[in-house]
Amino acid sequence: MKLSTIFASAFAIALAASQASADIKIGMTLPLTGYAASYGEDAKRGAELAIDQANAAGGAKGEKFQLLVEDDAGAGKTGVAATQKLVSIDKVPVIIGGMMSSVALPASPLARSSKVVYLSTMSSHPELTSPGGFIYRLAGSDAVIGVAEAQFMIEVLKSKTAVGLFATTDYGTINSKLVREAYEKAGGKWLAADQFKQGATDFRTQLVKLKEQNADTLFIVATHKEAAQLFRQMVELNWRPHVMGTSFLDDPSIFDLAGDAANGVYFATSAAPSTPESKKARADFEAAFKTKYGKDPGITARYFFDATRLAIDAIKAVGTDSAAIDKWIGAVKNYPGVTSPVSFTAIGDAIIPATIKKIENKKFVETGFTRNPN
Amino acid sequence: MLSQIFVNSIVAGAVYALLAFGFTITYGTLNFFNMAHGVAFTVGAYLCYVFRILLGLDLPWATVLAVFGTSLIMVAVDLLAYDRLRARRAPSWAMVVSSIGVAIFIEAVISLIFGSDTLSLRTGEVRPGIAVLGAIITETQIVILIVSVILVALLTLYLKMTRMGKALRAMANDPEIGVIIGIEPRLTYMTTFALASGLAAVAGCLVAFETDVYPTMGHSALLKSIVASIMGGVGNVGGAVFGGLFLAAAENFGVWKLSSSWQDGIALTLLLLFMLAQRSKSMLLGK
Repeated sequence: MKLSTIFASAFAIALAASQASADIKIGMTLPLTGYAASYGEDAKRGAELAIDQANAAGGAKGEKFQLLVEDDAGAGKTGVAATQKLVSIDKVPVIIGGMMSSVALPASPLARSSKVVYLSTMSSHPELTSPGGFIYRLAGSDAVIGVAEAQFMIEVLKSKTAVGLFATTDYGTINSKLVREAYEKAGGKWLAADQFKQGATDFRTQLVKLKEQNADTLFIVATHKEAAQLFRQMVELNWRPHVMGTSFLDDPSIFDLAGDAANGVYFATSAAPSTPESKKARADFEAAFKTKYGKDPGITARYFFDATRLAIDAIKAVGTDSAAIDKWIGAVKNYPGVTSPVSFTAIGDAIIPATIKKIENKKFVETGFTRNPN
Repeated sequence: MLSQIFVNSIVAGAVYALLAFGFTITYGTLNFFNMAHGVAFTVGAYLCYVFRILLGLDLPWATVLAVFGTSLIMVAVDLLAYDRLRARRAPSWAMVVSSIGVAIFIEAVISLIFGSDTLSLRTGEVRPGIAVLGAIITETQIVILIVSVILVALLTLYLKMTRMGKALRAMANDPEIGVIIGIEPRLTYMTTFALASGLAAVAGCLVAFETDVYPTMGHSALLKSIVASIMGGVGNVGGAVFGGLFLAAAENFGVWKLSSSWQDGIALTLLLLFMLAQRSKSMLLGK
């Protein structure tokens, strides 16, 4: 036998062995490269923690769970290709993804048309969910969050005039549009808005333009990486309006990246767990995460942990038939998520209250301002 | 507001000029589009992070070591990746493809070592900038300006006055005659790489202090180097500096009047116009 043949057969055997031991597959798309890669890494830590915990507890009837992670780069095209691979080649029953609306919007219908359950984690685009099952979202919709952001600006910050600065992504565009509508409806005056390309580091010219408007509040849609630069450049330009951001800022790495420049910034995020089960799950998760990775989890780690655990529990309960999983997930009531208790509306939206937090001396401080959906 | 946009343009332009200067001398002497030029910028920024934050050196020393470190690494890359291709008289596009491979490889190594997270080099507190003629400029920006001006001036003198500088220009002009009159080609190529990547590393360090470091930071640096070099006429050192400043001005003034989402569109439209306008030196028509 030739050496190459030996290698080939050894490889084939190894491949067969690895497939035999890989039992229940759960698909996942995450941004591991590109502008959102740092969110992706934290999310992956959260998801892997859920898988490890489930496998340590014996898996599902002795079978182990395996996470198939694909890079979606936070971009629609890559995300669709990754989702397509998980659906048609790996034939997974559940796909967890949708950290970015740019991925969730094109990828979720693809999963639905193949009867694969799509668990969107953080996308808040109002158009993501629709009747038809198979698509679920764990985060609140911008239709709720945007209103909370605008009402906080008017009611608590007593804002009269505002300007906006947002990324030219699906999320940035829709979120700022909804905030603007809600802000104007509540009686505020929206003076101007400008945009930046995702991953930008120099915001000076946009800031100079907006500063000229003399608005009392600046609304931004920026990742923690972008926001850190933006906050510093605002300090350097000596412009200190009220700043309102989105749940993008709900990640402890903002403290190191922006330092004191982030002090006094407000942002909207999902409200803390309200049921005792959910509170306990949150505390256990935070302790386990810190033990395993030596750092505090950000918002993406929480959502991906929740989504993975939801998929695991569904498979444990009803097996790997995706239609049964869809039915099981659609029916959960107050599932003890670490983000908040999870229940879904008829079209698959999680019913999650939005809250406003403030960044103060490297801590997230609750303002106590919350808004319930409808 | 006009003066502020002017300041922003000059500072961004100074960094683009450093990048384009290196890119253009690589093209001139080695006759290929070095797609790994942006990676030298990233390596410089990360080495700066290593020396400044991990080893706790003073800022000037960290920068100097980072610049020399980057030059060394890129000269090693030249010997490993491009030297063999040159020995086989590989066409220019083979070098371009090879440099894309180098860029992907080095970026992946950086991601493996440091992770994809953004790392911050700033340690001190953020302070409001200094007001000059209605514009606000920060101390870091002043340093960027001074360093860029000094470096560009020194390198121009180096290329004009020294023996090695003349050799570089001779090789750019006609490599065959250069070799006949006794120029050692390998040494010139290595010097070119050391200079070009050293300059990119300086730009990387300056930007790292201003903003942050992350593995993909070289992408836009590469794009700006290419656009600025082509605007100035590829291989033309003075042109590269002009190209850098012009590009930055176009981007910043463009954003002032139009929405910022047009920023790249403005740069690329200008690029197209310049390429159409340039004749003898244009890449489209062959050098």
